[in-house]
Amino acid sequence: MCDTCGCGTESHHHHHDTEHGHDHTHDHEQGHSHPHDHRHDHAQAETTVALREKILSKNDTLAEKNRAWLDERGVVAVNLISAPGSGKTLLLEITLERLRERIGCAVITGDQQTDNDARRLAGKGAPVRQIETISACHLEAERVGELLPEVVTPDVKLLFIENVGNLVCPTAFDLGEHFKIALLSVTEGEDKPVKYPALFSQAPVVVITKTDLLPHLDFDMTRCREYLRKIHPGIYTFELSAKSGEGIDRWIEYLAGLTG
Amino acid sequence: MHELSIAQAVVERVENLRNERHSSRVSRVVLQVGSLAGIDCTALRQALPLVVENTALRKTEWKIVPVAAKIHCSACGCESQPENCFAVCAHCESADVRIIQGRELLIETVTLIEED
Ligand SMILES: Nc1nc2c(ncn2[C@@H]2O[C@H](COP(=O)(O)OP(=O)(O)OP(=O)(O)O)[C@@H](O)[C@H]2O)c(=O)[nH]1
Ligand SMILES: [Mg+2]
Ligand SMILES: [Zn+2]
Repeated sequence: MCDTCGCGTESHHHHHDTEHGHDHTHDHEQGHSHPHDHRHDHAQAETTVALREKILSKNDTLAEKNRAWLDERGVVAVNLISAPGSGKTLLLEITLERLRERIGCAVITGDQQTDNDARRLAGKGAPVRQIETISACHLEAERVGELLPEVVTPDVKLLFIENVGNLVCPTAFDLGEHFKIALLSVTEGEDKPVKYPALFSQAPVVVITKTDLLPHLDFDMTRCREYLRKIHPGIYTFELSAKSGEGIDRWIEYLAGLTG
Repeated sequence: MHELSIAQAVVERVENLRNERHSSRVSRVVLQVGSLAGIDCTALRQALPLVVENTALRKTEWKIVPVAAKIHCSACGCESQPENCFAVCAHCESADVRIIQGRELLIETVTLIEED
């Protein structure tokens, strides 16, 4: 078989001028000229290539590169994923303040538009960069990789990547994080884990947010924990409120424990 | 609509393969999409025609094969298809299970037309 075109003929020569400069009497229009015998029956042959290749292999490769880059520097990266408005940014605001004197933190935050989140997170002692994805509903490894050297300054040990608010799409795109953290606010209903198993089956950690609102809602916490266990046995759960501060201590100690 | 990015990634890869193999056209591409891959098959099916405009893949037939999630039970060795419950084996109710299928997002086969 011909390595250049895989066409299954043994007898033809390709004329790549750089390889062998012999003359051919005719040229084809395509870049790959094909001086097979000059039959004019131009039969169509179908070849099925068994590719079995990951569609996002390009993104996955870049994500692996990001992870290796972070590992070299001893940085732990988490990818925060939730529906829009579940409280990712407010939780990060509190978290940066609380970790300020303890651990070097950095944030990459993604939104379709505006740098509102980056501005909310600025001035809390951590480098922050915004990615505006415009039309995309998720972050991808390439753009994150470009920002790593800017945001991961020498004393950073913990990188938060706040993904675009979306419960589905970001799950498919590895960014090079060490693991995903799913957020679920109590206003969204306790059955989110079974409705969106893709995220909740992948994230080893889930944060149930806005618990200060529980008295106003019918949210069934026991049910929610049960659903989570069904989708992901052993999933590590936090229940907290960034407004009242309830449950925040345990979250902070957990994060502090991530950086050895 | 991240299915548009997925469609773009697929088309880019298939076009590369077509160029590598110096084929003029691609008659058929088979994709596998797991139920836990976070992909909406309908949206993907709608996104593909938008992306192939002005490429050699205009007439390509796209086959999207959904792959159901499957868990394997270490206690009884059975495989079962979970609906809402990924935590227990459908046969023996053991909780010693792990997800073995459903995360696929693959280009399975590409059928090239070689005009000779
Ligand atoms: N009551 C209450 N409100 C909260 C809490 N956390 C966040 N919020 C409010 O919920 C709204 C959305 O919070 P954000 O932190 O912007 O949510 P987000 O997940 O970053 O949103 P996107 O980036 O747009 O996806 C804001 O009005 C917050 O003040 C909480 O613990 N309790
Ligand atoms: Mg936000
Ligand atoms: Zn079993």
